[in-house]
Amino acid sequence: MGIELIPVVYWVSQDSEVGYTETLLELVRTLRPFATSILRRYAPPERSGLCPEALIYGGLMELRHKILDQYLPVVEPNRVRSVTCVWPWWDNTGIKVLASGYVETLRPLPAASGTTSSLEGRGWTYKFYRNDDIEERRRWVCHLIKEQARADERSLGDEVPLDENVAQAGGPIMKRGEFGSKSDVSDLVSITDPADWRDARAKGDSKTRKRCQRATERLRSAYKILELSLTQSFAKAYLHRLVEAEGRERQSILNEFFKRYMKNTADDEK
Amino acid sequence: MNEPVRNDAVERQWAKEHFRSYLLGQLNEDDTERLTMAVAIYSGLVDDLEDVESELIDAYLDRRLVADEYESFERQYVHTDVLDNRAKFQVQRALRSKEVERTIRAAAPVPMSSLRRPLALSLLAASAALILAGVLGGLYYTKSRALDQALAELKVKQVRPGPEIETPPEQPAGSSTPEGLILSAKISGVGSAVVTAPPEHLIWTPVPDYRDLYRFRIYSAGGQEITSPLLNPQNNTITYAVQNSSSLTLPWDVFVLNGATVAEHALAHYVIRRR
Repeated sequence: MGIELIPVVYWVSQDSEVGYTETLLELVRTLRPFATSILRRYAPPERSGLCPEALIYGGLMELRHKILDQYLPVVEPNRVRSVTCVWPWWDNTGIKVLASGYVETLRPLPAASGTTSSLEGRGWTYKFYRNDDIEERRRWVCHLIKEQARADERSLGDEVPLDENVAQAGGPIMKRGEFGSKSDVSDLVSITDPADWRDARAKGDSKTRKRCQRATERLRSAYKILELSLTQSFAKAYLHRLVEAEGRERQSILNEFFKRYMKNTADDEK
Repeated sequence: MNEPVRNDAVERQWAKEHFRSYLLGQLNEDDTERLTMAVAIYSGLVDDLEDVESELIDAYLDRRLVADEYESFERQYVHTDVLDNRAKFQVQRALRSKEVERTIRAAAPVPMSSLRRPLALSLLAASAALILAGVLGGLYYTKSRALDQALAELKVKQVRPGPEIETPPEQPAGSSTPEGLILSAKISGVGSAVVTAPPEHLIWTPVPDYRDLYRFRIYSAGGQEITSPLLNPQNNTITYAVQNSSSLTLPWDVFVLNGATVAEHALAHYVIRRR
């Protein structure tokens, strides 16, 4: 599954000089606040069963479909649809669009991004996005994430019962009581790598900051595992593995937990 | 792609100005979506947001928030359905605890002592000097039998680098136990240990960084050289079972090498003698 997301991760961050995993983690980090707000607004977790990371991976998969498959943007009368350029060479070949069941080619492409143009011969308008900078590409991912959340909520209908294992949005629910007592901190320390605690406190240049961010992500994942293990069997399995492991091996397990939705999505597709 | 495209600089600035309100849950849904989208799109904005969030959590823990912010904060980070926010708060709180402080101290790598650096440098200088001496010696080898004797001595020195050159004063650094000879890593200069027989196990503790790999190298008085495989620390300790230790004539020069790097260097040096 990691291999299948590689094209889309690199497509979104074409200017990145770091490796695939680091780029993916950074993408998830920047998209998480947006995915969280979208989820609460359009597809509350207690109904959809989704979490921010799952929504992000869903959005990336949708983008993969659009950039790798025969994706034909739709142009309609009486509505301004979006047409997005994916590859630079489309400047020469043009973009094929679907207009009332017919395939038409837009050529030449508008020079500016975000401009409204007309489909020649029909007068139907469309908005064109070049996607030649990282901000536009990320904007497209956000759009897909939002579309996915709304589609998910629509598909559920009114009859879906609430998942009692998931805290309801807007309601203060603490399933394990107040955290912070000495034994709770001990629990957290006992399933994490001491080096992560040290790195989480580190301050310095951008490299140090990155190390601090990754360590902090792992510590937060460990906390989530502690909480989720009370109700979710998959989290219990992670907890068991963490208890058995030592040092750097725990880092690997926590990284794996962070990226688990990639695997779930792949399994769903089989 | 139907989102309105706003002026980038204005959007960034607007987002920054509203970080605190967003984190305290005081923005409406539209503004929350607008702000989080800006964070997702503009490079570096997520770092700024995390800085403000971290400061906000610290302010709550230090009781520096203004009165009406406490309730908002607790709704967002303590009594909240958002697991991610609970995790952020609890991890930052744990980072301030004494238990984590102890954990960090225990895991902190011990820097090379000031005296170990000169030792490593002196080893380097010694090697260079010996090579130079070897070249000069080669020129005169056929002409001077007296020099032959000196070269023979130098050859021995090349096999056993370190202890002959500007050796700092030795200090007791070993203790024999049923498990083996324990060598303390907390030495400055050359450590010494006295044994009744060649030890079967060498134990070095505490290692400077438990995530690194190390190896022992032993030079025996009989001219044998033994290097251990890479050793993975367990409980901040490396242990090496010396093969055929009884056949290695004492005294030994034992070096602990940083084995994870291509250019290995000595981290510690011990001389082990018979009582």
